[in-house]
Amino acid sequence: MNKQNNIEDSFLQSLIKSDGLIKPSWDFTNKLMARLPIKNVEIEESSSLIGRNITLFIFILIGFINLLTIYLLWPYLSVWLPENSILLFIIDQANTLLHSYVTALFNRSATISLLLVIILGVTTIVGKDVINSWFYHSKHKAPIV
Amino acid sequence: MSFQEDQFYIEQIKKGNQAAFASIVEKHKDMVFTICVKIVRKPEDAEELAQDVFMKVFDKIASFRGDARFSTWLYRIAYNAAISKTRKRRLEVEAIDDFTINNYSVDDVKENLETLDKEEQHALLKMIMEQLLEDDYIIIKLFYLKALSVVDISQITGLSEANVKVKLHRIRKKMYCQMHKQMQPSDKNYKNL
Repeated sequence: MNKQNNIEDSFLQSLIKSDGLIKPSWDFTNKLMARLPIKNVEIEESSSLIGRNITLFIFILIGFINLLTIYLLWPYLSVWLPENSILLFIIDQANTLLHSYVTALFNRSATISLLLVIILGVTTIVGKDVINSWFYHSKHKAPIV
Repeated sequence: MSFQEDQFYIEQIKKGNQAAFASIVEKHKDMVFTICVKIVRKPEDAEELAQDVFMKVFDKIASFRGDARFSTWLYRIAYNAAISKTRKRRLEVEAIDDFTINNYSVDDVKENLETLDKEEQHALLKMIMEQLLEDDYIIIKLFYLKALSVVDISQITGLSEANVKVKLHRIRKKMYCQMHKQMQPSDKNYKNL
């Protein structure tokens, strides 16, 4: 019988397998993971300079095409649209909506800005102390004798 | 808990996935700790050593080429680290002692063992295992429990393949001899287990 046959032993193997191994503490892996060096996160730019330039170029190009369409092509194209067509109706409605939205935005901004300008002007002309005294007198009116 | 093949985790670790390292630690920590504790003896020192072993593996895993099995590579690092820590000389192969050629049959011992119930068998084995030399214990566990080949064990321990075979043969005989002694009716040792 050779040595290999002398060491193969399924009975002993099953016994030893059932015996298992010696176990380290329950938090062995956690302690080890805490010792691992934290990788330095390399902060990379979201896009390279070339990428940003291309993006800018595309935006400018699209803007330029839009401008060309609105100011040069649209007057000629619009002639060919039927007067009561649905496309013209939709475009008109969209224009109206956009116009009203933008106008309202400007109006609101203008109103707030105007209020700020008036307050600033009054404060500058009259002075802060006088304004404070107005509020003070309104709160502590002298008793009528 | 079921684990993937080691190679899967290694690829993940090389990509920077530290969670994969935790998985591979979970998979091998018991064997690494067993190697360490058997050689170093003190559980606290062994645990620290086992942690150092895994740290070393983490640092060097990029250079692991996969020529050998990962487990063989890992256990060799653990074995060498434990040996270095204790400054213990590697065991040389001893000549087969006389007890291995005693007039008893392994089959008879096995038959006797099978008459014991599982708990008694387990207790007897535990006692015999604790009497083994630390290197013998590790070799037995690597071969029978982890099912590593003689070649792998040879790479881990630094012994030649022939020496590993001789050692395995000798340890096996020694274990059966010890079991045989323990089960002798006159001794009644196993009844006290």
